[in-house]
Amino acid sequence: MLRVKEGDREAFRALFEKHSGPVARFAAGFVGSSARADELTQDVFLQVYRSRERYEPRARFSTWLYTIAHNLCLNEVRRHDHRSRVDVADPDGDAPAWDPHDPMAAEGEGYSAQRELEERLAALIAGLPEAQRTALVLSRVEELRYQQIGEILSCSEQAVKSLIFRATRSLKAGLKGYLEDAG
Amino acid sequence: MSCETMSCETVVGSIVALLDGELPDGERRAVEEHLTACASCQGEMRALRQARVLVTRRLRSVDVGVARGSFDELWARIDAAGEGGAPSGPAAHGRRADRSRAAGLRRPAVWAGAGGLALAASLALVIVGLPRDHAEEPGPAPTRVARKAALVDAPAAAARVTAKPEARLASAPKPAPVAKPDAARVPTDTSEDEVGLDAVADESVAVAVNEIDPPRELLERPDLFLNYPIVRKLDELQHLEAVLAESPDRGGAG
Repeated sequence: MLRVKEGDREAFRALFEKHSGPVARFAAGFVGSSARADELTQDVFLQVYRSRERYEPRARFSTWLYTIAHNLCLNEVRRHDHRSRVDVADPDGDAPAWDPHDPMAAEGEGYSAQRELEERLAALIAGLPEAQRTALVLSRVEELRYQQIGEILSCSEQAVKSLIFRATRSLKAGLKGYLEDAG
Repeated sequence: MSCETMSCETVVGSIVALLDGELPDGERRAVEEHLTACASCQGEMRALRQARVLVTRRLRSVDVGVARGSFDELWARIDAAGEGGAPSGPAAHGRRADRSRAAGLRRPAVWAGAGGLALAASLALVIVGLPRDHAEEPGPAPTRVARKAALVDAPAAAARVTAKPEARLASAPKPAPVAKPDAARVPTDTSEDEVGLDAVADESVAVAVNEIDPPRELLERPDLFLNYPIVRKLDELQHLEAVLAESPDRGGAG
């Protein structure tokens, strides 16, 4: 990152190649669309480059990176009121909608059940409050520690614990009927 | 801590952190002890664990393969915004040079030093190459436009002097004494109407100067200008003029 601060293009390329995948996964988890996640990833790294001189080596780079990613994802969601427009069946709109009365669908009953669960999960994740969703995605997808998530969200480790618990509890409640021996 | 000392609500609130390995040792032991003895909390833990597994699987299943050309697209955006910084590597070097050619020359700071030297060089060349009768004619102080014209014409003048500087010196009448810059006449062989050009706005002059297409190497190393034959010749000529100015038989002005 120090080389990037000096405008080193190849160093920036290396940084992009190392971190663009995780950032894209985070964005996809947040906005629910891989196509938009790709665009957001570009925006995140554009912002990284523009802000490179403000980066302080004292801070962990990934914390700084996800803080930028989080802010841009929030802007994206708020700007487009994304949650109301998420097509949980196919966030990118490439596949035809699933028709449960389609006789062909009966042949792939297991697939349909799985697909239904996926849809349900996508809807539940998209419906989480933003802070819970961010903490959940950073924890589940990026496997960040609570402490680092707290740095990104500017809150305590205890608050992160609470956010992730409440998110998981909401999902559990929303998945009632899909879980074995739901408590 | 036992089932009695830790409430079920507290334990349930810690189950996800326990599964994430985020509980401090003391708290972890207390929660585990409670779970061993509390069937209700065990059921809650099973459900939370399943939900946790499903959501993790779902979030990680999203295909976000970043396209191979993504970085190039990104860099193109940075380039388009003129924020490319100081890229490294030969390819980037060449691209940066092209970008500088397209836009960087409009930055006066880049070219100001070289432009000033070019102006000085053109002044010296004009003095050397000028017929004496023309040189001795009284005239107005140089206008900015005239200086611009001299600068624009500098490459041609440079070519002339570089070709046969000594011959020019030999065949020319004794040169005029070196004049101070503020009093120097700067006749040029341009046919432009100086009276009319005097009305040209400063901005136009600046643009005209910046439109000069400099040698490519100077884009990268403006200091190389000092090594140009024309500039070295300028130094020689200045020295010669200084010698002539001090010479008792220089004649004419003085």
